[in-house]
Amino acid sequence: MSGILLLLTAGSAMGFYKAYELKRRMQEIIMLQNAFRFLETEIYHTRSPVPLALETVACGQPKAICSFFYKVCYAMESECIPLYQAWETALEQLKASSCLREDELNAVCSFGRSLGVGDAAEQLKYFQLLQHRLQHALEQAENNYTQKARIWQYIGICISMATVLLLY
Amino acid sequence: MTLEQVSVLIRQYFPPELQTKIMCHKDSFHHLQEIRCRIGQPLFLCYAQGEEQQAADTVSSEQMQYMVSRISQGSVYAWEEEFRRGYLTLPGGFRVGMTGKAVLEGGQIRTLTRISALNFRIAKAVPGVAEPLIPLLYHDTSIANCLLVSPPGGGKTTMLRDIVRQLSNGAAWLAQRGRTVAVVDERSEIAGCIQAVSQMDVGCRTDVLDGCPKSEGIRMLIRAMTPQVIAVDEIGTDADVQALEEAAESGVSVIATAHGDSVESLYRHPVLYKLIEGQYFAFIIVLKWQTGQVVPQVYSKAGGGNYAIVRDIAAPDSGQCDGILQSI
Repeated sequence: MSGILLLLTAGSAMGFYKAYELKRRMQEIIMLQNAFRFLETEIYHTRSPVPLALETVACGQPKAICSFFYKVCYAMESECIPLYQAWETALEQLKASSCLREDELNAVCSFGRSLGVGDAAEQLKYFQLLQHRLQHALEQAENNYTQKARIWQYIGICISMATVLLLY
Repeated sequence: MTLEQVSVLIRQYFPPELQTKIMCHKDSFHHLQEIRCRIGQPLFLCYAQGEEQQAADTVSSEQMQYMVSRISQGSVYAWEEEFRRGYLTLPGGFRVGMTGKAVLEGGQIRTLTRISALNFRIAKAVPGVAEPLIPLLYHDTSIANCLLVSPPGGGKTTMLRDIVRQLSNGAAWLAQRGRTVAVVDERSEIAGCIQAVSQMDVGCRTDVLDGCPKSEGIRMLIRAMTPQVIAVDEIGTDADVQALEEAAESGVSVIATAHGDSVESLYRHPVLYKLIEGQYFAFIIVLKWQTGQVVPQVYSKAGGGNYAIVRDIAAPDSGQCDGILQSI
């Protein structure tokens, strides 16, 4: 009996976890949007160099974003590597520790290649392009969640019940 | 300039593959003046008197992009004014000159883009290099007006920096207290300011006005900072001359530099000849390179609008300084 309960719980949990990942992806995209809005303000209005701007903005951000910004800042200042290299390395680590997908990660990656290149007016355009791409990714993520979250929950429950029936 | 300081510069701003090649020449770093990088061309290490060594066969555009990203902290927008002027000052007082494509707005340069060449000028503070000249400058309670002359790269800014430092800190060995010195550092070469903070030692009583045109800066400093001495680099325009004349009327001493290779060349200068013929400066010091070092030749006022060379630079305790000052 306890084994059956364990199997049902584990299977259902897997399904619910996949649904949770879809929801978390939406939340993380919104975090990215907010963080880059703060960064845009810091860069455009105060003209702070990127490492200082990242350090300033990182403080008030959720853990994953805070960690990403600090890693870029640290790599530039302590390891003496250029911004775009530090950005790509930190983004790889963000990818491994988050539910973000290719769309939003590619948007952030290509933004990193443009960040700091050109004057303040050009930076503003790159930020606007990034926000546009993140908004598109968010809409996709919301559709995905709406369509698939319930399905994953049901799949989890069904697979666990099927496994119980097969075994017993 | 120490090996360590140059090594730090190379490690921070050059890509790893160029670092290795440049560091092969580290034995000559104490004479290094410039590191020149051009896309598609060899990387050159430049020393005094035109000597140079090729450190790398070519600099790629990716390597140039790397260096631009490093010197600007990945933030070209934060250095718009510096890119517009064509140079940027790094921590430690190093200055990086750059060329590329000029972006114009209303006929004026707005910024530089597509940087194609960088010139890293090695900051050279040589504390004590001006010591033989210091006794000349003290005249009763004031400082004598003085002009330093040399061709580009001849050491006049290095000499000026040390004069400023010594006047500011005072000369205990001459029983002279420190003076309030104000520096108009139009091109951030004297004090090497970053975010208006001086990277070079210019003395404890020195006020630095960074990035300001000389003529306006001199007036601002006279009004606001009550300096006893004003130091400016590379005078040469009518506005500079006018500002210096106003400084004289205000009782402020001036230490300045100018491009030239002799006193005679100053008489031929379309603007500076007015100051020379009017004997504005008590001393004109021409910096010459002889046997691998800078040798100052001192000229003092000789009447009739002329300047005459005095004897070789006096050591502080030789007694020749008193004779020179008495003749003014």
